[in-house]
Amino acid sequence: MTQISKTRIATSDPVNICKGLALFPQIGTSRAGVSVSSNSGNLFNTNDTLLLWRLSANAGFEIFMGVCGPAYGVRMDLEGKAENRTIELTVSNDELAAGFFIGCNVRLYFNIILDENTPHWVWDGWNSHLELQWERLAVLRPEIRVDMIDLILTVIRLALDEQGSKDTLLQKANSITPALLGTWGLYDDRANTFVSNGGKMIVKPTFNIPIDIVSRVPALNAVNEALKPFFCRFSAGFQIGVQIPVTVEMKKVKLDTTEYTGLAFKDGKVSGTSTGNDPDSPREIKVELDHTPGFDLTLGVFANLNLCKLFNINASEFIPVLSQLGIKVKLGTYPNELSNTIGSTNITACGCGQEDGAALVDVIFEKPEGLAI
Amino acid sequence: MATRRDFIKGLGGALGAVVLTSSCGSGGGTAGSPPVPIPNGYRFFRIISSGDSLPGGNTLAAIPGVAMLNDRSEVYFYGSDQTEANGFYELLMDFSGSRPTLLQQRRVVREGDRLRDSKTVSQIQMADVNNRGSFAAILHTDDNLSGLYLEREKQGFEPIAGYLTKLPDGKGRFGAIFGDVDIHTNDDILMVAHFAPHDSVQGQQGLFHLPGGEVSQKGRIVASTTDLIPEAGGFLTGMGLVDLHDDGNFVLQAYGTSSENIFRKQLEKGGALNGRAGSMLINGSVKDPFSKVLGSASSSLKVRKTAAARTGFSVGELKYGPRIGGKNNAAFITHVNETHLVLYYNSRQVVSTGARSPLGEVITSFSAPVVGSDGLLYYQVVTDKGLELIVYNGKDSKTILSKDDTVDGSVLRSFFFGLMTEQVDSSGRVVLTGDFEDGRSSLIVGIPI
Repeated sequence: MTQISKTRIATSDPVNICKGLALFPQIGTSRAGVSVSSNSGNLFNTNDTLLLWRLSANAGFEIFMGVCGPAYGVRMDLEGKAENRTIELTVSNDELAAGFFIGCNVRLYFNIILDENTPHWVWDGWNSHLELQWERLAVLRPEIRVDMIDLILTVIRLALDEQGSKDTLLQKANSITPALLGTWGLYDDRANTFVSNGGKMIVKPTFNIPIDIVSRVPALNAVNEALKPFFCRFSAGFQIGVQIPVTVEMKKVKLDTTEYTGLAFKDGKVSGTSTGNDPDSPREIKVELDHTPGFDLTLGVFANLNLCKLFNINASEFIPVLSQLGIKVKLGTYPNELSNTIGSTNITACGCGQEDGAALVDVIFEKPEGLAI
Repeated sequence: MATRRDFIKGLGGALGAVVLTSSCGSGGGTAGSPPVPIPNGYRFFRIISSGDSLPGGNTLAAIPGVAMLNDRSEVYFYGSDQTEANGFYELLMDFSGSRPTLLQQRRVVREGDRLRDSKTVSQIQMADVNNRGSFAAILHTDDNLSGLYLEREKQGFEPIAGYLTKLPDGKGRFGAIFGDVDIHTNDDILMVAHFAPHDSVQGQQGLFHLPGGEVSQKGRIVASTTDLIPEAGGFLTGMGLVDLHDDGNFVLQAYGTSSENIFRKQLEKGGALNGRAGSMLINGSVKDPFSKVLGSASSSLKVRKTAAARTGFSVGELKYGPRIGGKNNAAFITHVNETHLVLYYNSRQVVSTGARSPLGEVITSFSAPVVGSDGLLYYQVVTDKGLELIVYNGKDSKTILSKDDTVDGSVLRSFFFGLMTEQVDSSGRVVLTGDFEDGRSSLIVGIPI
């Protein structure tokens, strides 16, 4: 009989997504990586005469963002024995965290000019008369640069609490690149679920929320204050949607070169069988983890200006975040191996074949024609 | 030489102002039943002016142009007081005498008001009334969130839908942004709002029908962004102003992008994401999701030939709020370009910029129209010489009020009409706001004679 002292298997300890395994790796790469991207666009540009008013309005945006992940980090302690070509391990202190960290700076600029056609007396002797002339009522040119995630943090946390999903966490972290004002992580972290889930760990960090930022940014709020007397309203904001369902499953256990497969989970233990002999004094325990990820990230920018029920202009843009960041999604199941010296609970390295640089995975977009009537 | 019209104008101070309607030639005409006759004249009265007292003791400082009325003789207006707080006020009028009499006035909602849900109003974003006297409003509150509120029978505002309220079908939640709202008979509400469906990570904008003014299983999403544009290739990307009428018929100002533009953007990597959606008019019924048709569309959208060939279909941008009246007759204005506007009603062109008004002046701009319950169409034009308020019956157009007319003894210098959908009641009374020679702004009611 071979005794296996308690051994810790992990990507890092404590679990850290940025030091974890990439959810969408190509063959030969597995590191989470950091990606950055920038983008800009116009939202609307209009010049309209509305009765006695003349409105000139344009708006645009620039976005700079960086992402760490999407990735998962995992940790578990294994202890047990191998006998008669059967291994039996007790799994404890398991933890899985999956998600990604994102920093997003946004620069929004607006030009709103409102003129009014007001009557003026024109002195011209016998031809003196009243004439309508344009007078400038307001010139509003706010420009802001904000840490977008920081700005909407309160609203997002409120959303997560309201939905009862206390497991889905959004926290500020150290910035992942100097150019970002802040970095926020969206991830789901479950502890001690491995055995109760029959050898699977499942997390599903999700949120999807449209947010109006105008009243939360003083420069933009000043625009609305100026427009209030005219029963005019300006809205601008973001729609953010993220979902990263991840299932991680233990598929094989190796003691040195002896491989145990057909893993079964029962009564808090995992057991498997081998076609080879149980090693006498194995030095290393290796665990193969298969993960099946999903990932969807949408970022929309919108702006709306309405004057009573008379006039409305509305614009929105959805940004293909994944392709902008060089992240491509290929659905499937990916294997990874984690190992440690038997008896050690010290995690000094991921042991997961790290390479430099973010990995790109192929993505396929559906052509719109396929969706039309 | 003084005309009969000048004589009547001179008597205006004593009688309110009796304005004889000035007729113009045919505006198109409609086949079928004879057109509703346009009243021979209107009497106009100033019923409240800047400087007057408001309920609660404040003084009315300005009336920017928003006014509504219903069949209960309730007149509503949006104004600011001397503290620069804006609010809606209601005047209960008696129209039975020789001039309108104020019976009662109250404050409906004002910035700074505390609501039933303990929130404080910071801005009134949108509002509408119906013939029950119910008042629906989109209110922005001190927690930096917006929501739909409804006041039934003057009992105070109850919150109906707000941030994270579950959708009528329970499959998602409302977001933090609410758009236009319209309320009709039985307190049925049509509302534009952002929402987050459970099964999608992309938030959407939707047109919600809330029967009885409540979020319940009877409510539904009538249209949403990512829907296909009816009768065209492409997807809806946004929604603007909406009007709801009898039998659940509605008109919606919407925005969309053609399929080609969507595919082109997906292929681009990096670079600016320019791509302005085109606007359109969607006409439909809340009772039938397949009833939606296009009334107009931007030239950037590829419209089916059957729709483009339809009588009254127009190509151009829809920047003004569309209106709908009885018999599902839509009234809307198309911007062919930035200066060329065309007004349509009941599938016919009524007037365009560059044409002559009933008073013979060249029209340079006009307001969104208002449809009366008898089918008469009311709209304001700006001409190279002034302003006119016009009534159209499908055949004739007549000016019922113009700049420099005298109302209650003072000369009218400018006025605003058409900023809201409910500005004409079933008796043909009209409400608008105006600026006078005496320096005061007033709420004006016109009564047909």
